[in-house]
Amino acid sequence: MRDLVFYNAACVQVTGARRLILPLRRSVRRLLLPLFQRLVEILQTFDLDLEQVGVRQAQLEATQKEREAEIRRLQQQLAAVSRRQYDLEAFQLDHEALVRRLAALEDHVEALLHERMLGEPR
Amino acid sequence: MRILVLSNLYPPDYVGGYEIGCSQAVDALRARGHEVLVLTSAPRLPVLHEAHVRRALQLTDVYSKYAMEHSTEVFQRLAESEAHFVNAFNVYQLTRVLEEFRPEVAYLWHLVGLGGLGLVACLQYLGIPWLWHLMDAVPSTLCSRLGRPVPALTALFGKQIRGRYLACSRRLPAEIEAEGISLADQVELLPNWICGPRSPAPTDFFRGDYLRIVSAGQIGRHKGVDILIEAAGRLRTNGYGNFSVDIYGKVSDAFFGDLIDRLDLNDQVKLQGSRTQAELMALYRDCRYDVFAFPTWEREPFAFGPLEAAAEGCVPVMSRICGNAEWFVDGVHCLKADRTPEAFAEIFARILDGEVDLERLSRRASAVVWRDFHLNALVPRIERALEAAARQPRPGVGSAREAYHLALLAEKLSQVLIQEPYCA
Repeated sequence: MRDLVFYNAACVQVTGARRLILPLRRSVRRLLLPLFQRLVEILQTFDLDLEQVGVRQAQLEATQKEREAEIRRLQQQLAAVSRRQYDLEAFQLDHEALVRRLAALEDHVEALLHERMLGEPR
Repeated sequence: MRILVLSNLYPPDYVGGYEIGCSQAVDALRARGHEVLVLTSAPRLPVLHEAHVRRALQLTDVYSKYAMEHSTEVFQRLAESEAHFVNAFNVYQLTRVLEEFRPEVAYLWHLVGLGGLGLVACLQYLGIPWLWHLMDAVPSTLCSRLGRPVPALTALFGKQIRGRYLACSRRLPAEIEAEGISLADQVELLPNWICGPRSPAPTDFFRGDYLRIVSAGQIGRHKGVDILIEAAGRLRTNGYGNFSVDIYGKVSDAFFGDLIDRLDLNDQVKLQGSRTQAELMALYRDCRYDVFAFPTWEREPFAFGPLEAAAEGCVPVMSRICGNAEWFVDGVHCLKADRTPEAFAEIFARILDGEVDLERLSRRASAVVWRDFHLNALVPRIERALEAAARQPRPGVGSAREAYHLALLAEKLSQVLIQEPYCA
């Protein structure tokens, strides 16, 4: 198995008196094999998790960018709405002024017409 | 009619246009045969005695910035309570004057400093009908503590206090109502005014060579003096040097002088110091100013300055949103701009470039102000409003003795409530 090759490291190309401990090494390796296999499984799971975390992080970063763009757009819209509201209020005030002036002029016209009527011979 | 006028100050002792407006209205009512008695505070400087003015009230001068800033917190709060809520001494004086003068109607003006809430409550308790002339958000100020309206007080005011109001612009009652006080539908709009004999019609107008800009009033950022100075700076940066800006008013902040220095505008912009209303009117006429710059804040109820300047042929250039903007039409009687240095500089540049017919604006504005904004044209409406107020029902009539007792109780209670946390 690819993941267990590491444990053969001290069991190949061994020469001289060091060959005597090879059977011991092999027996230990045999005994520990289930543990090593389990470790491989765990590490593979971690690897998979890391990949998923990476994908999730990328997704989150993209979402954050979208949200930031959304906030910028909303800020621009708010500024535009505030501006429009300001313009509307200013326009409303000017309109009110116009209406008041018109009313005053109507009153003056009425008063002048009344005066003229009184002055006309019957 | 017998009319009792209540005002915190009365000329020659005054702070601003509100008190001057009060004295002009009083003179106009007296000239039309009404019996008017003014009840106001003891003057802050000696003044001549006038038979129709009783200066018997105590003023708690919360407008004295120096005194308020150099006093302890507990003193400030007690002073504010006495100025806004109740001053039993003033209630006592009011009850005495009411018994003696027996007015048909009370005509209320600026009541901050007198414990105005207590005075209005006293009138309400005694069933004296009243008309309140609003040139500032006085009802909501009287219901405020530390600069904020107290919801319990504003709610009570709306429920218990019933009278009629004259307001100088639509935005003023709107502001008062936004702070929680319901004025019901008892508000009538009446613009501010000019008074005095009509000056000769202006004959000398801007010819495109040199623009003379003037501004007058309080020198503060809320009035946009900084905006005006910066607008002058921008105008010069844009290559216009043929203009001057004279700013009249009491300078109490070195910021504005520094700003003129920093922008190197000493040749063009001058802080000219304080002038009386009559002196200003003469200046608008004699110095032949072309425009009156008024980049004021949105809260402005309706300043007298631009009106007086317009009467003398000086075209107001004002913020698009303010009380004055409700009464004059852009491009017809005045020019309106966004409240920014850029916008004001642009308007001045347009005038200098000959794109604005300032003469026609000036003639129209002057004629309209003398004709429709003169006090003589408006005082009949004040009379009608006073008569309508006097005809109002007078529910819950109590006695003056009880009113004074209640005022004493309220005063002591507010003092205890303020002092208690400091004694703990």
